[in-house]
Amino acid sequence: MDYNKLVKDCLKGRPDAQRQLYEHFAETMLGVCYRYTKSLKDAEDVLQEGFIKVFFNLKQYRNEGELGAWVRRIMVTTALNFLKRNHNYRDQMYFLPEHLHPVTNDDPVIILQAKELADLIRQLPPGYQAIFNLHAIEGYSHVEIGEMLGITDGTSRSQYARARSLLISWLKDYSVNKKETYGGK
Amino acid sequence: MAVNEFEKNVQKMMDEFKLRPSEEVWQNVEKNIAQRKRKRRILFFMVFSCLGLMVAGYGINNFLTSSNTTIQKNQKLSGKLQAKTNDREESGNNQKIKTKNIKTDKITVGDEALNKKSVNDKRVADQNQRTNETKRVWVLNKNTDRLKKRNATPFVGSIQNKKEQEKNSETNAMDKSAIKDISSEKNQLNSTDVNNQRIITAIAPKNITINKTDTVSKNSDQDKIDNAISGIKKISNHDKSLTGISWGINFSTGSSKITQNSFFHKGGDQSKSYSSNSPGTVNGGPSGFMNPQSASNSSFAFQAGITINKNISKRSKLSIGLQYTYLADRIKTGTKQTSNAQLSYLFNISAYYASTAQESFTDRFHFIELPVMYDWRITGNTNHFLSINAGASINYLISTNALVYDTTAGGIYYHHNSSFTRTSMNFISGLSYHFGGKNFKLAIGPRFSFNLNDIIKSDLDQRRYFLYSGLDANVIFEKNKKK
Repeated sequence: MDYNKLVKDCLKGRPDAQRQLYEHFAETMLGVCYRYTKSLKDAEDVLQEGFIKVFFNLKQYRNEGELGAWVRRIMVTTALNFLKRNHNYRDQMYFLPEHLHPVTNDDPVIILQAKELADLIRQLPPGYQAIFNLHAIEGYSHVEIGEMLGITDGTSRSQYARARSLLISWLKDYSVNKKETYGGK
Repeated sequence: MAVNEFEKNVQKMMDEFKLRPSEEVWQNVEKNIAQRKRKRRILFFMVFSCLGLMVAGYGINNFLTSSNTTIQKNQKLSGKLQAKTNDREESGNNQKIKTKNIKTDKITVGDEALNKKSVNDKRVADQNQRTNETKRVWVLNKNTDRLKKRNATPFVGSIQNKKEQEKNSETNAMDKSAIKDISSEKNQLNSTDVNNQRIITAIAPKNITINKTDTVSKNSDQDKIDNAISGIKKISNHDKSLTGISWGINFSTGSSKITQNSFFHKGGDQSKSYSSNSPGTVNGGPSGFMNPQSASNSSFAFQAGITINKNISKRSKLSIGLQYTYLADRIKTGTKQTSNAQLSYLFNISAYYASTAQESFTDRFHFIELPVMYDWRITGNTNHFLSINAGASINYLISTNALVYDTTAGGIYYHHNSSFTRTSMNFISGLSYHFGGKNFKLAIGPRFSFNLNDIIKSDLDQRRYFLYSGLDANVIFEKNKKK
């Protein structure tokens, strides 16, 4: 797909081009939004808000880097703003400074589907969830996460370690249960 | 290493993780984009309108200032002429007194007559001091004539002694010196009088000439001056009417329709029947019979707003307005279907109408219009007259419920905000009959306007230009003419 032409057409306000851009990225971006929220409806709200931002800030995209990464960054920022704005998330987004939790070297074999993994991530407390998504999946450093969430990089590290530990334990349990389930059959 | 492995696995899985959003998300995104664009356009339109009005106001103000200067000049001239008229009357009185005095001189003893005359002269001098310089010149002329006549009078038959003659000669000497003093002022004012006379000659009827000499009889001279003054007053009033800005309320009602050609307003445009080249049915199946587009029929329409009028010449005026315009057309559609459809324009719509002509549907368009009109008076009468007008306007489409034809699925009608031109130009023309009272005037007449841009963007819909024809009524409020 010729992104340059697509962007130019979108900037001209052509509805067909806008629709094409949306169709191209919507599914991937909903996957991103899904991981940051607790419900599909919230994820779709974030997606909608994110795409509106994309279309109105498209002139800021200077064809430097991949369009998908640019759209993804907007989605992540929108999701974080949504978490901060929505009291259901905000009230649970506490980032208490913790002692650094030793990161385990456990490497559970992930035998579950992407959707199941995403659902497990969504079961993390909102604070952990956001930091885990930002660091493990989006690849932001703890310093960057600290700036994005208004916390120290140390807090981000400790929260991440805790989130990772939780998730690994859940993955182990989930994998065991799944094996038992499949073995039972 | 194990740490990185876990993150890598999670990242890889999540990169592949995709979810299909519901159609509602795109519809909301699209709606939001349209709303924001609309807000921007409204803002742009408002800013543009304000700028236009400001520029027009500035231009009118400049024109007014220059016209006011002309009025002031005319009023000054009128005042001077009035003063001269008054002076004439005074001079006439003096002439009577002089004649009376001469008669008395002939009959009575010189002392008494001279006393009376000197008293009269003193009174005249006092009056002259109160009048302006122009008056003084006129009085001077009168006095000069009077003195000449008196000196020329032989006083034959009257009994005079030497003392009386000396007194007379002293009085004459004083008068002569006074004449000399004033004569210099008279010379200075001569140029002004010449200018005034030129202006008067220019504005007065051709057969009227104003002479400073008393060769013409008083009555006819007075009439001529009166005529000249009334002429100036008429021109001054005319100038006032030229410079005045009036405002008005405009209302127009009639019918409108969207046609393929902007100059034909015949009932019922029948669109071409399309061949069966439909991109497919709504559900993606093969296409079948293609229903042609419905005919567009006239529907009720109206306009209402305010206008600011400015006379730019004796017969013409310019007006700028801001008005709301409701235009509509009627089409025949089929029943409404509430299912999603992918159109050839890549719009996704949630509802559409079949194009089988079963029910009447009115496409309603709501505009904000900014017209600029030129009005030219055809007939000479200023109270009741006919005028023709023409102009252009910028229209901004606020909202519409209109349906657009598409060849999808054998022909359907759908509504989509992006299918319409938001900002367009209009040509307006009309004929008005003006009549009314002192404070306001009514102008009633037919009005005709048409779009210069396509109102519907889609090439598949044959309708192009809005046409409006109706009866226009203008109430123009004018400032008090007594001033």
